[in-house]
Amino acid sequence: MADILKKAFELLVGSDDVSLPSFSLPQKKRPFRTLTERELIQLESEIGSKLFGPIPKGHRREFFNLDPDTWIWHEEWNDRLGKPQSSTTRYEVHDTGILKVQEGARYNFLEGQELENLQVAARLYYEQVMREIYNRDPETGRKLV
Amino acid sequence: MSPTHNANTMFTVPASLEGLVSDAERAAAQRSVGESYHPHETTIVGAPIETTDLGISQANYAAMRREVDSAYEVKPQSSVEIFRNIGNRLGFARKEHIAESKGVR
Repeated sequence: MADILKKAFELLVGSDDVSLPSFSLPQKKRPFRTLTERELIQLESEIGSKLFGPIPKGHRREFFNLDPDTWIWHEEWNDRLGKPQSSTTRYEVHDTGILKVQEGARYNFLEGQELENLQVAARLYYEQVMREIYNRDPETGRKLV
Repeated sequence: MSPTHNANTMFTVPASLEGLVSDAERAAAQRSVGESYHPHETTIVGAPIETTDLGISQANYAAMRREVDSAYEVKPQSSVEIFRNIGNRLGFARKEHIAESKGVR
């Protein structure tokens, strides 16, 4: 940008020996810049993390839809000794059901109340994300006016 | 309200949701995914998107759009269908949002 301004100034003044007046360009402000898919998911996760009530002090929580077949629950906190702890649970959508996958090769298909609870969470997540982030009617997919 | 998720036990959501979501909101959320809707009314059908703008091919975009249209059209019956339905809609909403913000929609 500075080079372009210098050339323009030289064209106006007609000399290579001119010194550029001192001025600074305003910094670019791009509040409406394009968000990547990853950044959009981070925004969604902010909504997702609040679906289950206040986050305990010192905790960090993530809950988001990663792709059509994957939901992620992640939580970080410090234990009594101040040692950082974390827990990640992945919910995979399979043809045969919703598979819950945790660290340590623990996995099981959800059923009963737990499955219903996750389903309610996913619906609330969808409802709020569609309205608040994508400005769309969750029922029709149309843009909200 | 205490944290309601214990990775070692169960995903226990509703108890903590009682105070946060009104009955009407909950009912709307319950309804929203299950109801059918006619794809020809949708606003997501628009001008073709160039491959370079979205990073996906026209063929993939068309396939994705068909999938989402059918997701709105078909009333999901099972948990798997409901989760896939939600996931497909969210995925498409992201793609649309990115396309719109790039000015290609």
